[in-house]
Amino acid sequence: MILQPLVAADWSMNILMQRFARIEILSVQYHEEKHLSLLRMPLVSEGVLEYRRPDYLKKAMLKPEQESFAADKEIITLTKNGKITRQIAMSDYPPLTAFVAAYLALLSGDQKELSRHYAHQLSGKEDHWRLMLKPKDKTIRQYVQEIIITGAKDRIHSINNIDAEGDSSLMILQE
Amino acid sequence: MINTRTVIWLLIIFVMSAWLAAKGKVSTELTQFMPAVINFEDQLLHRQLQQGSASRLLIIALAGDTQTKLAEINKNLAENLRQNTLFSKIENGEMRVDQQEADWLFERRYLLSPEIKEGHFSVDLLRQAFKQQLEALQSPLPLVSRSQLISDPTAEFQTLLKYWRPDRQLKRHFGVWFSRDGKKSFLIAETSAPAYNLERQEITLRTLQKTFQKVSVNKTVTMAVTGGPVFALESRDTIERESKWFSLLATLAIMLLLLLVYRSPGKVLISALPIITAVIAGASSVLLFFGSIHGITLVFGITIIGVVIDYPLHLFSSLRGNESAEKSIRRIAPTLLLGAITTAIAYAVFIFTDFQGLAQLGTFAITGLVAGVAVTVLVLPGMLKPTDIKPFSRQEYADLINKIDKLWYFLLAGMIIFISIVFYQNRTFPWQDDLAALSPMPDMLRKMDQELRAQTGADDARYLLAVTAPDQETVLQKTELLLPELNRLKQNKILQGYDAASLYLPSVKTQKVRQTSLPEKRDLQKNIQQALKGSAFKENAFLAFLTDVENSRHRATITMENYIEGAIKWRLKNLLYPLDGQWVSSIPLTGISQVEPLQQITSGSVRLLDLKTATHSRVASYRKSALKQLAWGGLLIVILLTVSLKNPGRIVRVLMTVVLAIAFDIAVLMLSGVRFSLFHLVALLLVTGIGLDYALFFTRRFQNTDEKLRTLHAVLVCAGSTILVFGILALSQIPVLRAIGLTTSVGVAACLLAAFSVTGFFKTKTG
Repeated sequence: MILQPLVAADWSMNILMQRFARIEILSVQYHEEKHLSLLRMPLVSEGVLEYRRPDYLKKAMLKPEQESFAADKEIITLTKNGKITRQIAMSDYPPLTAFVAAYLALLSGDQKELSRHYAHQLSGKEDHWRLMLKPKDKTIRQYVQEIIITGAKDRIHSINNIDAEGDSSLMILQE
Repeated sequence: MINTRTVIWLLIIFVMSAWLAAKGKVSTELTQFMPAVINFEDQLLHRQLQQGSASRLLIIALAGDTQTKLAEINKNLAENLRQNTLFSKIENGEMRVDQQEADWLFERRYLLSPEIKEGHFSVDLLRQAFKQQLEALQSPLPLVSRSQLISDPTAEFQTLLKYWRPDRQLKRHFGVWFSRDGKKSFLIAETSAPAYNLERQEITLRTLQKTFQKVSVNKTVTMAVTGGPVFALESRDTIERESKWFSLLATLAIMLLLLLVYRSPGKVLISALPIITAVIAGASSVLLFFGSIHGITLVFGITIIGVVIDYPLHLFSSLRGNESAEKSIRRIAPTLLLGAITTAIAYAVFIFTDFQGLAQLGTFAITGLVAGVAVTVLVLPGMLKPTDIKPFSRQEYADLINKIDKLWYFLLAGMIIFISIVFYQNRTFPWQDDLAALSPMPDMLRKMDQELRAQTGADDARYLLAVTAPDQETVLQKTELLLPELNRLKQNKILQGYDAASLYLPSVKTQKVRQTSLPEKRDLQKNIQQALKGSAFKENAFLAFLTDVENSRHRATITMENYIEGAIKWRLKNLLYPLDGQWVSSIPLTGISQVEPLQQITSGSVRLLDLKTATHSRVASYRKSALKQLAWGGLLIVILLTVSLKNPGRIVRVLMTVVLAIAFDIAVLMLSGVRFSLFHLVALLLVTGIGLDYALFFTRRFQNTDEKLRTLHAVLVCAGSTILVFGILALSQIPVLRAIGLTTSVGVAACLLAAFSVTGFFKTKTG
């Protein structure tokens, strides 16, 4: 109720999702910082994030190591230095499903699927919006407490994952 | 009609039947039928055959959907089955233990892990471990658990689980086993129920089916199951089904034949009484002396006393219109009794063997034969009215005699030549020692089993090493000493894998060595500090690790007794157990390419067991012992005949008939490519009894041609009905029934031919 006025009348979850639904292919560079209580300093990495409608998502880290994971339908493939190290079914790791499903649902503009896994709150304006996702499932909350995504129009600027212990990983996407 | 004897007989039958119904237990445990266990090696084998996991393994193959879907169903199925106590072990490529068990094992990881040795937590190694953990955290998809990372930075627990993962050369997709072509997903289950407990096995398999139906939402997914329990049940069902149908068919056929011959439904019914009495009496006596009856005793026993069916037929053929049945029986009673008692006494030698199975069989046969002949002689005549049976006209009889009179020496010569040629060609006797060949498994199931076994490497639950020692600790130490050897053999591809108790439970000695090799708190702290220099981890990040190592140094050592109940202990129990005052650690080996290098690591306390050969040699020794007893029985028959017949000519003719018939029977079977098993032997015993009967009847002193005619009639009806019944059995798909049916029907024909040619029946002058 408090948030409601913050969203401009011509800007809503529906519109954001409609915009995303038009994206066919996406490939952006990212810069990630992991802030962990165990560590003295954040872990910094860089790479490319790729998306192909409706269910392909790849995060390829290029620095400091070459490592990637790609979700294609239900299969997740992990590689290291260009070689496949492991293939897992998403259903094996429920947190993973929720995690990947969130991105895929968001990027493909599937609000129903997104709502299945997360409670969502959109705030801000069309050219500076902020989407907060909270996992509905208790076990998943052990891994991810909340995900905060910011952006402008159909572009995502940053994704911040915060876990139960307060550790977070902030990913900044660059055009 | 009803006289005192009938009443007494009915009473006895009633009491025995009631007792059998109340207390009768049919056991199906094959090992019980095997020779008595004498030495330790036998006991080891006995336990392996009885409880060994090999006989309890189920191979489950899922097919009919995408890999991810199959993997999902596989995992769901495994998860469900793991919670069911009907299964002691479920393997599907995943390494899963439940949380409580995992926590218990995690706490003891530094005692359990074979990697723990002096210097395992040196600065260098710790630095490496920390670096790896950092990399794992940095990975685009960090799958590490934060709490495990801080208390187990060297990933000792993961290493341990890797050691415990079964060595099978199976591809894994999405964490579970798949066939090489990726189309079938596998699980290997071990049933809790022992292999011989068919009722429990049946429940287990039904539960598996139900669970599969529950987890397979997709109807296109199919499940194929194979393995020992499946075969045992399938065999039992097939035997039950076929036995029922074939015995029904045989009974109908023999009733029809007898009805045709005697034209009296009453006689047909009466003719069944001796054999029914014989079976009930035989079963009762076995129950009385042994407490339970083995299924095989029942099948073999009924076969052996099958000759009892002939007794009432002899009686019927001797009936005359002008005298009472009591008088008629007196004429043939001596011959009947001689045949029955001679045969029965031959089985007496069985009773005095170590073999429970043979002893039961002997008891059953003796009681059955005596009861059968007793009912025929004492009870049946009271039920029969004087009637005359006119089988042949005198002219037909004379024609037959003429024909056979001219032919008998051709017949004899022909039989002897035939036997000689066949025996010469088969100088090594074709025994069948492979029990599997006798199991009535449909070919399709057998093929599927071979395929799945080859694919899963569950092929050879055949070899295992058995380590023995007076106590648990020593046997574990000895097992530990073997592992480096086995690892070397594994590297050299002589074996694919092994499982050993000491992997799950190191000896106390080893645990203590590991404890002393763990650094003291102060030293470890120093090492951690140094290793963390320049690392991104905070200085106090690994406090949990420090505490865990310190706790491990003083932790009570693990033994079988204090091990946490769960999946791992289940495995352990199968690998480590007390036996006859000793402790045994068995090491099952898979994928053996050469046996010789394995034999080299055996010693007095380390034995290499080959379950397959062992079963074969047990069957062979069983057979040898049975043959020895039979030889004694044969000798006894000769002595008995000599004493009771007193006529050398008759003795020779009777014995020759039997020997010729048996030899001819064997020769015919050999020629048709039969490999002889115990079932054939048992059928040959029946043939011996029948041959003896025919010969005794044919060599009687006849008072007139009429009596001769009646004897011929009786023998022909007997032979006709026996060939009919057993000929029907020979059509069965079940190897056991086929063996018994074929041997007996061919044997009876051989008896008839032998009796015609040897007894001189058609030549003897009648008074």
